[in-house]
Amino acid sequence: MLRIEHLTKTYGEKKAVDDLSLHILPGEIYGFIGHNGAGKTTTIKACCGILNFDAGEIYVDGLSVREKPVECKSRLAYIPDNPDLYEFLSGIKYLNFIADVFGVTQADREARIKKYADTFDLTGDLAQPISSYSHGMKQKLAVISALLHEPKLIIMDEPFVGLDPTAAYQLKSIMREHCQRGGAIFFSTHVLEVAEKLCDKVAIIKNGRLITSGTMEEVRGDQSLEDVFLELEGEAHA
Amino acid sequence: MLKTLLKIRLASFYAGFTGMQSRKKKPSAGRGVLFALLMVYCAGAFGLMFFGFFSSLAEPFYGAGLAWLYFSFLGLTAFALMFVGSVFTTKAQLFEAKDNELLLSMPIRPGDILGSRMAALLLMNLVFELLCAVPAAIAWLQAAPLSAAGWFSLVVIVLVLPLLAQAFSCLVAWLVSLMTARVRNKSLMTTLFSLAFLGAYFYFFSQVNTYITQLVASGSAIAGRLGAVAPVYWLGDSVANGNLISLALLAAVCLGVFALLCWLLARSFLRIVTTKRGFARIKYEEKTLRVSSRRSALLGREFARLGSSPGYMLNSGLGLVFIVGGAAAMLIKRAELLTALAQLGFAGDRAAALLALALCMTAGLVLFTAPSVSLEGKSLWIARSMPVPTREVLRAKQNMNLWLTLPCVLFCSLAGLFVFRPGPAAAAGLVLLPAAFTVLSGNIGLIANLRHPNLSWINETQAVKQGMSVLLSMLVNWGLALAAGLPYLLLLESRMDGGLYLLLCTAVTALAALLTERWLGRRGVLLFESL
Repeated sequence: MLRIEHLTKTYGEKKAVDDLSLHILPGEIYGFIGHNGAGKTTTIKACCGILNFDAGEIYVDGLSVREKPVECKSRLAYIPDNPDLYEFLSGIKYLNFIADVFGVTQADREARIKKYADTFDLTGDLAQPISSYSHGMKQKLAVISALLHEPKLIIMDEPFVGLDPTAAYQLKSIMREHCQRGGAIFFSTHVLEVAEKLCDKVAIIKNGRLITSGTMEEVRGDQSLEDVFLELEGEAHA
Repeated sequence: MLKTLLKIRLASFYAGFTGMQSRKKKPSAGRGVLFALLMVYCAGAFGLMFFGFFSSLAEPFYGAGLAWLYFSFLGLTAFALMFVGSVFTTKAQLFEAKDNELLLSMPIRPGDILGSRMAALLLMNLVFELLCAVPAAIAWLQAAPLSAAGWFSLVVIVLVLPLLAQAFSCLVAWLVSLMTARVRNKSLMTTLFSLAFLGAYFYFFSQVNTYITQLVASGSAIAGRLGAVAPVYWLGDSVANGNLISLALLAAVCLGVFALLCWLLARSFLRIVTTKRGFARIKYEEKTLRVSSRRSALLGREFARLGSSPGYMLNSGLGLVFIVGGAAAMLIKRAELLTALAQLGFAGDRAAALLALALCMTAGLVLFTAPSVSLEGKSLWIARSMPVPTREVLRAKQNMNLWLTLPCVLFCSLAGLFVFRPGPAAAAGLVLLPAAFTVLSGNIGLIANLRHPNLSWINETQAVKQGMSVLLSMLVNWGLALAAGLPYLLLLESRMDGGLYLLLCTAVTALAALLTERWLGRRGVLLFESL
């Protein structure tokens, strides 16, 4: 579903991502872990066609992000680390706008908005301007908008930040259902406990380079993910 | 701390204006020189305007022994300029700045935050004042002498008058914030209030010639009336007659009013910036959702953004008010206009040519596209992650400009056809040239903003009012309109048919529009994708 091949991105002299390769299969929840500034957001933005990259290739559902960006974007959904949405719209108008842009039929958009807004307890607030929303409400709206067109691939940057425990639980359930239907999820997180419980596979990145990746069992072995992460970070420092 | 905050505030003004906030590269020396040249140009244009205005007053007032009235008028003009120039920025900087909460969360005294914002605004007011005071002083020196005490008074007044203007700006900004805070359609209310305010301002300036004539003709009578308003008299008296007592009284008034306002603001600043006034809660009721095409949705997004922002509407759309107002005035005052133009030798095709060129100048004031990229701000990721070709995102910005501007321009052209009854070539030119220019000026605005974006603004005013792209677009638009108009008016008017000239200009403008269109489709797309 998502194939990253030898991705390299530099900002001036600094290599933000260095020869990174990953492969996310349909039905997988793939966690992406690394320290601050490791290159997670750069990788994620490159996968979504938001950021141009210097070398390598990224394929979404077999299509090159570089060559077919629009087709790739219509197959995926992106949830950023900071939900800066259009504050000049109300929640419902924002969702309707996203549905228009992704070409969702009227019946589908109405049904999905109802389903997900009810799930995240946001229905009553949909007529309110987004400028009046709290951070968590904006995050919920960003999640709902990402689900409107039933993407094959969902790419999320720190999706649990700002969500209350109930909403976080709902999101985890939705992620699992999405993958059971054959979709794939690639997300970054600093919450290792969540990654450990939720992810089928995990990749750890340090200074733009992949340190390790594989199934959770392969990466973790007998230890906790936290121990493995700290150990690998320490080795990388040494 | 105050010094640090003030530095940040000034850096923010500078970066917001030059678009350097969103640049990944270090600003080049050439960019700094361009910025300085632009500033010199603007200062020069304002300076010349005020010099012309005060030159016509200096000698008659000196001859009539009304020197004090001249300086009173200088003070009043500078006060009006400072007040109008700062009132909306004051509202944005003091009451609506997005970084208020961030700063308040730090160990910084609220007084320092308020003080730094106030100091930056005062500095801005001082610049406005100097634009008026320096040429007025030069105009006076050409007509009459000024004593050492008069010079001293003038310098002191230049320093204290911004305090009074700032106090009034704060008061009005606070009242507008208060009045619009609780209403549901806040944007509309603010826009209407601002339009009324600007209407009064432009009405005053449209009457300037009448006022000058009245001032020159009946200076003594006006002096008597103004003299009754003591501070206005003190202002003029202190400079013209070197009266230091008047100066002390005026300075006391300025300092006193400003100190009172600062005291009031300091007491309530924390409450003002932290109180969530709350929206009237709107309960969502499920209803059928309207389905639109991608193109309509993108266009709707641009209109929604415009409709939500009074600052955007006013700063970018004021030209439309002039175009429609001008067309209406042309129809209503048809006979007077025809007579006046006939006296200047303009009728039929020539009058149509003049109108077409004037219309291009005014259309150059419509700047919807110039801040449109900057206004994406931190939500740029949405436009970048949508499954839509970048060209379509840019085209929506162009189309909003066309949807709003073309009908107004067409209305004015048709009014011109009705009033001047030109021949077929001039008639075609009168309709086609302003239309082509509207397309071109929209493209120029978008290009300027793609090259000089500011995506990290802390309030929209920085994007719509203080951006380099806005100023550049306006100057380029006017430069092009003048380049089209001046050769005809200065050289070719008697040698060339007005209609033919208009059609030639139309062809060149259409070609330029086509070239800018191609630039947007290639380089513009790449620039947007690299933001």
